[in-house]
Order: sequence, then structure tokens, then C-alpha cells
Amino acid sequence: MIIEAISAVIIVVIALLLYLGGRRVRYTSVDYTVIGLVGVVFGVVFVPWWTVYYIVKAVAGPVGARLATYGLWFMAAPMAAVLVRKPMSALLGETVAGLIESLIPTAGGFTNLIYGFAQGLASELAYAAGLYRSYGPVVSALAGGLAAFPAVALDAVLFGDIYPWDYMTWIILGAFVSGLIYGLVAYLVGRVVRP
Amino acid sequence: MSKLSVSAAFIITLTLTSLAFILDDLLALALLSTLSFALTVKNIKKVKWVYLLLLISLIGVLVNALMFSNKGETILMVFGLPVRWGAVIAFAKVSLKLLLIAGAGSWFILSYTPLEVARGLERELGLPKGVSFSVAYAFRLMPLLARDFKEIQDMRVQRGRRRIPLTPMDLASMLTPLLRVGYERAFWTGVAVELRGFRLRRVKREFKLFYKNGELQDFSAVGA
Repeated sequence: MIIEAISAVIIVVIALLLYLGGRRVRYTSVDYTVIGLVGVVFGVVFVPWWTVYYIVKAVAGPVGARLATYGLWFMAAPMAAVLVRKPMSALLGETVAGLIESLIPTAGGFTNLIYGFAQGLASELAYAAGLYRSYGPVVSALAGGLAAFPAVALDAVLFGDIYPWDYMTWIILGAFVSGLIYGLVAYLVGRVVRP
Repeated sequence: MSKLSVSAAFIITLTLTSLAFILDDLLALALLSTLSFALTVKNIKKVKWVYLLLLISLIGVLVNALMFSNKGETILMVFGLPVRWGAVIAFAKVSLKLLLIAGAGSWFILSYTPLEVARGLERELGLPKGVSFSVAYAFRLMPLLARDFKEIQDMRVQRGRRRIPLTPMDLASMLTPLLRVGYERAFWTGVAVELRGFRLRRVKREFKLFYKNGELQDFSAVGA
């Protein structure tokens, strides 16, 4: 319940920040093609990553699996933000990646779009909190980490991944740390791609 | 013969997927998942690996149910491990939810091409033309990226590295050249599209429940 409440608060805060911060944004065709690029790269990478996730889960358990693999699913948002550097780019990047993953036949179907939208919103919070002035390593890592909250909340609702409270804390922490690491990787890659 | 519109099918699929999150009643889940599965039976060969992946994921669901929901009356013993009523219910619920999601998603994908989806969402549901363009461009980019990815894999093998990325740094070393090449391509495509007046392009918006014969056609957003 607490995770769902935190996620709901995050979504409301972000919606407000997006409304206030994103009013003056103007996207060019180049921004859209870059978002399309991020969407297709991650949309395609997300699909086989499920297999990696299940293998790691079998070996290292739920916490280890989240720590090692979850962050990749959060990478599209910081990557899009680093490459486009405009408000809402994180949300768009993650949502388009989720939509593309949904349109490639996967067992996840349209849940990918729902996850992508929720994770993108949470990631956007990191940039919105800094009033979109910084797209640096700390903010990118945080953008990756924040996406863990809606992801774990949706897992709890859909897959019934609800564990005893102390174990749940480890799961959230594992997903959060994974998001931080992969968010930082997204920044490092993005810095090379768009110096 | 008329065909259900993309937007109507999108809303139905999204509703069915959302119901998988919300519903907790076994009977309702069983009915909806059977219905969504039945919709894909005709073309099941095209999505057979979706159901194969679903079966694989059910192993994890079973382990999860046995570890964390194994409560109540014991039903049977498997290798000395008691399987209780709670685990069976939890497994059935999550399995049916996943079947509902996979069935609904497969039905939608089998019904339309990605470019039809992009056009439908833009014209009928009011998706911003830029976002629709991003999706259309992404699908056009897919074969090129697949070729680039294979070349990067071959180069990694020649340098004695892993073909498949296993660590975050492996992933970084594969994504960097892939995105670097893709970024250049995306940048110049964006410039070309901008010069061709993408910003001025007007979208005729109208919601349709059904398409008449021949009304559904692919479109080329890149060339628009």
C-alpha cells in the first residue's frame, strides 16, 4: 500500500511540474527522430532482457535479479533526456520505448506501455525537480533510480510480488540501486553520443 | 467487410490489460483470458513464441506462489513439499492475468501493422503528430539498427569480447556505437523532415469505430 501511495504522489507531483515546466517547450523534428531512435533501441533491447531477468532470478533470487537487471528497463528515460535535453524528453523516451516493446509481439503485451509511462513519469521527476537546468550524471542516475518505485508497485499489483515488509524493502532498494547504476551508464553513453 | 478501427482496438486492448491489473476475481479473469486467447487462436502460429515465453515465465510465477503464498489447507505433496490452497490460488490468478495480457496484446499486434497503429493513434486518438512520427520513424529504423547491431557484435567477437552483453559496461560498449551511428542518422533525417515542412503538416482528426473496405492503408510519416 505504501509503495502505491508513494508512486501516486510521485505521479501527481510530476504532472504538476510537467504542466508548469513544459508549457514553453518546443520540439523539433530532430528531437522526435532522436526520441524514436532511443525508443527503438531500448524497445528492442527490452525484449530479450526478460530472458536475462528470469535466468538471474533463478540464480540470485528476486532481490539479486532486480539489482542486476531492472535498471536496463529504466535507461530509456535518462538516455532520451541526455540526448534531447528538453522537458518531458525522459517521459517521451521511456513511453515510446514501452509502446514499441508493446507493438513487438511479447508476453508482456500492453503492460510494457503502462510500465513505460509510469517509469517515464517517475524519471521525469528528477529533471523537473532541478527545473530542467541539469542533465548531468547525478540527475541521470536519480532519474534511473526513481523509476524503481512505480515498477515495483506495478509488479506488486500485477504479479502479486508482495513479500514480507523487510524483504520488500530490499527489493525496492535493489531496483533503486540498479536504476542508479544504469541511469549513470545512460548518461555516460549519452555523453559520448551527443558530446 | 468493415474492420474495427485502430483506436477502438487500442482502447479495448488497453482496457483488457488494465483489467488484468485491477481484477482479483478468478472467474472473471478466466473468462476474459479465455476470450483474449480465443481471439488469437486463428493466427496462433505467428505469436506462438509469445505463449512460449509466457509458459517460461509461469515457472517463476509458480516458484513465487510456492515461496510466498503457500498457506492454508494442504492439497498435495510434491517431492516432500506441501502445496497448499493459497499457492494454487495465487498461481492461478497471476497465470490468468498474464494470459489475459498476452492474449490482448497479441490480438492487437496481429490485427494491425505498427505504421497503421501510428497513423490510427494520431488521427483518431489525437496523439501528437511528433510522437506518432517518432513511433513511425522507430519502426523504419529497425532493420538498419539490426544490421548495425550485428556488425558491432562481429567486431566485438574479433576483439575477443562477448557477443552478448552481460554487464552494464558490456552494454555501454555496445550501445555507444549503436546510438552514435543512429544519432547521426536521426539528426540528418530530422533536419531533412524539418526542411520538408513537417511543422506545417496538418493532421485530419476523426474518430472512427470501423474502417470500410480499403480504408486502412500504410502511410509513410518519414516521407510526409
